[in-house]
Amino acid sequence: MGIFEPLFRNLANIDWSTDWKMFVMWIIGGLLIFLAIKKEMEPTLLLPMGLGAILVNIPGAHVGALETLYGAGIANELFPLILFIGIGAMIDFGPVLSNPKLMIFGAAAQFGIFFTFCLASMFFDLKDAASIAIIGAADGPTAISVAQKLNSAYTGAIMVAAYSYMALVPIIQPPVIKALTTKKERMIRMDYKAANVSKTTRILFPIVITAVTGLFAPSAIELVGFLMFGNLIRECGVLDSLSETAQKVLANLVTIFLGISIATQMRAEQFLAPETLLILGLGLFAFIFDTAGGVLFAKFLNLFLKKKINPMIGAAGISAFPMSGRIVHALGRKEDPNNFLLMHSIGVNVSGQIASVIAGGLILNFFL
Amino acid sequence: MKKLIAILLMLTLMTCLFTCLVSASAAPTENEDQAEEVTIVSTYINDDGELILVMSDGTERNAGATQEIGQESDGEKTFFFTPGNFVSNLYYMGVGMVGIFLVIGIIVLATVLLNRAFSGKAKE
Repeated sequence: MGIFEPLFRNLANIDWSTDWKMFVMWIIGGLLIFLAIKKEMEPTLLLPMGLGAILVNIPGAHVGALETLYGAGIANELFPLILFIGIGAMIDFGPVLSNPKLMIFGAAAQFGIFFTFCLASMFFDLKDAASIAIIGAADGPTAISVAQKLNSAYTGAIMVAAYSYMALVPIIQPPVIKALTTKKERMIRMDYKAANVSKTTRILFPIVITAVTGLFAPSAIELVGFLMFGNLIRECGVLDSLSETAQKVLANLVTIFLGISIATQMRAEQFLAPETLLILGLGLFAFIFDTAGGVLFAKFLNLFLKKKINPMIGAAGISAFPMSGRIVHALGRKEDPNNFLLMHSIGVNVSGQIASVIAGGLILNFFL
Repeated sequence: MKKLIAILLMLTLMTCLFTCLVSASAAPTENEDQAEEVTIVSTYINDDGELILVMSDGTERNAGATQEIGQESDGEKTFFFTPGNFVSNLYYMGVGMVGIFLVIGIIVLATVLLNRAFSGKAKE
């Protein structure tokens, strides 16, 4: 038996009174992997997070490489910023540039962030409450960046909540939209006239956004700057290979590193706490009130408009691009198969991406 | 080209003007007495163990839960239940939402101007 002692040493050293939590994290990791593969919910992130959660919770094991990756890319907010280059390169601002007024719904749909902040402040200090509230931005890089800058003690739970709820948008949004709208409102048709947007406008737009946002929310300059840099690469027309690299290779590479290194924040002793459940609940509130804020704002505007807006497009103002836009379009077609809301909802969805970054910057302005 | 320069100048002017207005409204005027700056007058701990700051303008601010000397710190985590914080932090909600609408409004305006300036080239 003596020669096999090194083989079983680790098993013998397991302290079941404390290490049982690690096995609970294995179940959570397994659940994330199941959701990623079987339900195809944000597999690019939930799968690496799920496996990472198992890796860091093996008794006696120390995964130094993940800590190195965390320090190299998440603790200094580098990975989310690089990912934003890829996201910016994927976004087509054409629908928003055709109808810039849609951007106000992106603004309205950030209501959930601030409402959740007020709720969270009942339980956490201001910086932690702000970090939790930013889950409502429905934008992983923004959530990570804000939580890191505010030095929140709940970064792991916040990241898991942000990415999990982004994947759950098709489940969260429809009941909220249906509860706040009537069938008649959901059947409102909106005309879409494709306006010609010049190439010069498409090139100047990301530059103008960067300048304006930077002046009012300088703490968000990194986030908005990298997002718009990616978009500028796409729109300039002379960097097609860079644009393709940013959209595919770069985004995928960073997503792999981001997903698995977030797991360092999912150690049992950090993650399995009553506060984690509360944070998950508050994150859900943030998404619900984001949706409600957008829909109710559209209904408010309809009081003054002769040509009514379909209030569902307000719900597309959260930053879960392009899922939220497609959900609103699908709900519209469910009520009226000939109702084509996609261009409007995608336009609002895209503007939500900009608005969520601005919201993150304002949050940082308040508390940094 | 002239149109482009005019548009850019107008945008720059608007942004500078607005920034100045906001800064001016936040900054104290020359004749304002320095004593109008809000400072902490006194502090006390309430029955819930929270540190209360009494300000020179008569308001009180809740700085959060305190720890007894010798109590082990629970890392950096703070967790409590203070319902009053919801109302006291509504200020951030108001300012935040106004701020987002303001910035988005300026972006919408800039986009409309860009479209008007370059819509001719799009048609070509």
